[in-house]
Amino acid sequence: MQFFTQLSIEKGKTSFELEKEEYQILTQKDVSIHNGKEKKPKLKGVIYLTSKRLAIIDYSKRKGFSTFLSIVKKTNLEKSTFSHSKVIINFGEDKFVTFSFKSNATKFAEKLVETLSNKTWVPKIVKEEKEVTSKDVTPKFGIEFLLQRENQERDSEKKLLTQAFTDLDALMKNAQKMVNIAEKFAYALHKGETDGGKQETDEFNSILIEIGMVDPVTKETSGDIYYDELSRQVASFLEKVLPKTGGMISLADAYCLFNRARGTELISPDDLLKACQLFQKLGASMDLRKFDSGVIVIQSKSNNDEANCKTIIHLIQKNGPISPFELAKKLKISINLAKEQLLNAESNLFLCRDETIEGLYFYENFFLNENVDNLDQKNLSINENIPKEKKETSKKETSKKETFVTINGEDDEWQFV
Amino acid sequence: MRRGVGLHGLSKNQFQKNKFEQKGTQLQKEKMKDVKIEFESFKNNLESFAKTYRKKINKDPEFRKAFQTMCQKIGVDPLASHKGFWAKTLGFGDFYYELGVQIIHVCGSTRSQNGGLMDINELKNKVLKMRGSKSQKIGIDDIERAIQKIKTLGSGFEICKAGEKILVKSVPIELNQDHTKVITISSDKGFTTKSIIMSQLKWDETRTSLILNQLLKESIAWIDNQDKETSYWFPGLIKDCFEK
Repeated sequence: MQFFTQLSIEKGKTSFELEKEEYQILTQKDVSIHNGKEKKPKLKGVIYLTSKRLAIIDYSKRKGFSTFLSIVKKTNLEKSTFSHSKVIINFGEDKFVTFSFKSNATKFAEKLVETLSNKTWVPKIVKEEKEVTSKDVTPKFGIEFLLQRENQERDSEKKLLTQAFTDLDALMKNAQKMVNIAEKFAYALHKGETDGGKQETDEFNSILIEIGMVDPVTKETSGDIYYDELSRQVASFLEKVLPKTGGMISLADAYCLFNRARGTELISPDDLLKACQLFQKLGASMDLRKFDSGVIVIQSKSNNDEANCKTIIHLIQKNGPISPFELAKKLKISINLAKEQLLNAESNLFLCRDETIEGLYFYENFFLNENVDNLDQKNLSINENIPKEKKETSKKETSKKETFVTINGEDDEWQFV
Repeated sequence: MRRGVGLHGLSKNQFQKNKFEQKGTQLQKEKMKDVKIEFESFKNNLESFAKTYRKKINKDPEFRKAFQTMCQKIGVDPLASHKGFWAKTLGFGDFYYELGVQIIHVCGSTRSQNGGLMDINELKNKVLKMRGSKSQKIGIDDIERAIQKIKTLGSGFEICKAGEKILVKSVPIELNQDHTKVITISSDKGFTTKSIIMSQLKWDETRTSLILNQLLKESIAWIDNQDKETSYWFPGLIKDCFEK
């Protein structure tokens, strides 16, 4: 296995990371990797063929192996009707590994051979070379020369523009140059617009500008594990988006942003929903959440109930009792969400309510406050812990008394108003 | 060459400078005009390419990315498929999905101005502009149908009627921060009115009354009809106001 590097998948991540300009070509599940002709597999899992690498990952163990296609010397398909078909990857000098396929070995082998012969790891779209104008060596200065040079540049651009749009192949050949021209145009026109004060940049668009996707997962590349793969991609996409939207995004917004990043390779709303429902299974760092009103959002795990309760209690300890709209103001969230978080914390026994004529206020539940400090270690299923907690609180009765006094004091003040 | 010394020289210098500037702005204008023409042709070409070669473009990941960048920079929407037979009759195919993406995009990018509430006609016009001149025309019923398609994604995105207007609401109450904004601007006085909100936050009537009614419904705000203009009081704020 000397030609392979180990891969591991961090907690919260759902897939291995592709390098820049690397894209997926094909995936296939139920594949095992064997060193040489060994019977015992090194690993069983999902195999990935990308433009640069061949990787196999066992998602249950969160690890895998990968190798670069550029060092593969030869591949061989050993078909078998009764047992698993095998694809043998040779690295030269009798060093090889065997991939054993439960199904679709032929399709994979064909794609692999095609990829190897296309040498996809060599970037096809070459960066624009600086064209040195050698015809016109006499160094001239002054306005005339500058104008001349600019005209030349513009002429060659014009030529390219008409040339590149004759057919698709021409455009593909000149792709990088055309991108550069597009960028230049965008810059020039944008500058004109800002002078007129027409520019509008908002959060939504700024997210769109920053995020693009090289290799959208498709049914073609991932076959029967399409939804798993899609879910992985949605998760790694939203990891970049969620911090910008306060840890929460409505599913409709996510649908738009994700599809925009995919460009022309559109997915349907149903596919997105299905993919998001797999978050938990794949151990993503976010969750799908449905409100009673029927609204569905995706929220990052750091935004979960436990963390919310903790934040609320810390706010109460700092500023006194809290109402839904104060919380909404502090956390920059909607009132409905704030109210829901408070009610949730109440039903988990962390808070007690005070319904006054001025509105609904929440106080810390002092009978349970030991829990706050240990919240990290404990689950929210506090019901089991109640007897223990009660014993502990009775020990610290003296300190409790003091706190109650202050509450009563505040209450008096309110009545006074 | 004689150096321009003295009064005459100074004015000559000034004259030259002006000439240079004139030439400069003239060139700039010409160049801008040129760029605009080229830009338009670039745009047109991209639009027709996106339509004709979509399948082929999708096949080559590397090129697809480059194509997408071009579209983004030039402002061409790569999603412009035709409403084919199936889409027309049964609502199948990418057409309505694409429209859905465009609708959410328009709503999302205007949210900072309208708080996620938009007249359906305005929405239609913006979507049309986004789709470019070459694409098929769409009508209000297409918009409605596309919104129906994204219902799968939860009830946050919906069409609501306010009087004769048809509005598209893109922000669910759960994610709406408008209420907080109203309360924030009311926090010195403890109350607010429609006109205060409309002048301070630059909202329109519909958005304002929608938010105020929601606050009333949640009994966060109390209504007072005795004054010339109806005022809305926030009992929760009164305490703070008296303390000040």
